[in-house]
Amino acid sequence: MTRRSVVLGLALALAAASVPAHAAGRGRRADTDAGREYFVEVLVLHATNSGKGIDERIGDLPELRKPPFSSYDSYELLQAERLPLVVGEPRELRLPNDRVLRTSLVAVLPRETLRIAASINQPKGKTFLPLLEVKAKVGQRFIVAGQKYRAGILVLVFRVTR
Amino acid sequence: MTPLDQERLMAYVDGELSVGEVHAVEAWVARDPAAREYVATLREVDAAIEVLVQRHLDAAPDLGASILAHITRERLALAPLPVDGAPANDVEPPVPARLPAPRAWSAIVAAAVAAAAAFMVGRGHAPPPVERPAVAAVAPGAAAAIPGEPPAAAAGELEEPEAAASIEAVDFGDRAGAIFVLEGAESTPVVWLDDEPPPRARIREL
Repeated sequence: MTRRSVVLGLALALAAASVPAHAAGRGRRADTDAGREYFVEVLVLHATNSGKGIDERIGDLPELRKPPFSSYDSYELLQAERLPLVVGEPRELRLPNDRVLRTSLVAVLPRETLRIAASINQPKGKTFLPLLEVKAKVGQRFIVAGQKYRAGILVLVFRVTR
Repeated sequence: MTPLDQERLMAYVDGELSVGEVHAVEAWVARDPAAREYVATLREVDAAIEVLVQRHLDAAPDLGASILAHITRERLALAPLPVDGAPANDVEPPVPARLPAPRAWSAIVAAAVAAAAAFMVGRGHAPPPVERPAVAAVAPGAAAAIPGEPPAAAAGELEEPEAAASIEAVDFGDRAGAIFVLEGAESTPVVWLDDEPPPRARIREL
């Protein structure tokens, strides 16, 4: 018996004993694994101090209540996009300030972890943020903020989904 | 499915195959429902164990650390000894002190088994999220690691699964920027761009 087999046996026993709910979703998981489709949700928020509060459409984002984001009292949802993540097929999203966000999937790592690249380009082709490379699991978020926009800043909230 | 097939699928899920092998396995999995189901099960188990381990490490970090330390010591102690008559360089090298992620994960499985009993007792009583203090921002141009990123593991330490997304590299171009992590129930890395260009370009490989 190989060490992997031992590990798998222990793992299966543990899963069977402790997490029976996972078994119910096994068939569905198998179907989605076959497709292996991943996406990145991008929320484009406008942070200002206009006294309007947080747009209800944004949902629960605890990060906005923490510094430095808490220094803005208003967040408006300007865009919400779901971009497919496919290796070799970058996707673009035009931001409200006319810059273009470009995202691409670099690699799919074990345990639903993705390596994602992003960049932001100016309208005339000049690069604003040449490269950002992030490693994130499905469900995890990361934020790119700070671009000036109409008496405030843009806050881009990324979340990996499948 | 043969044990060899299972072994290959395990290696695939663990990310231990070469690019060519990955393509071959993906083609196999695409056309073989049994292989697909097996891969799904492996991933399901990974996810379940991850939840278990994280819960218990969060609830009892000292216990989790002591278990992992014990496993590390055991593995080092079990490194193969030279076989009688065999030259030393023919012997499999000892287990490295710092285990690669997949191997570390296998060790954590054992820790999860140890924690399972406690889980069964304490099921449904997840610890309340702990509000950790925010980590200071990294000034542009500053050296060293990203806040929230684990420091390079010292000998004997095991890699733990990442609880948050991590910034692997940033090129701020001709502008300044900062990287920091918002700590809390969910840690979130933040890249902050400065819209005013600084005097000179900065590129930071992290």
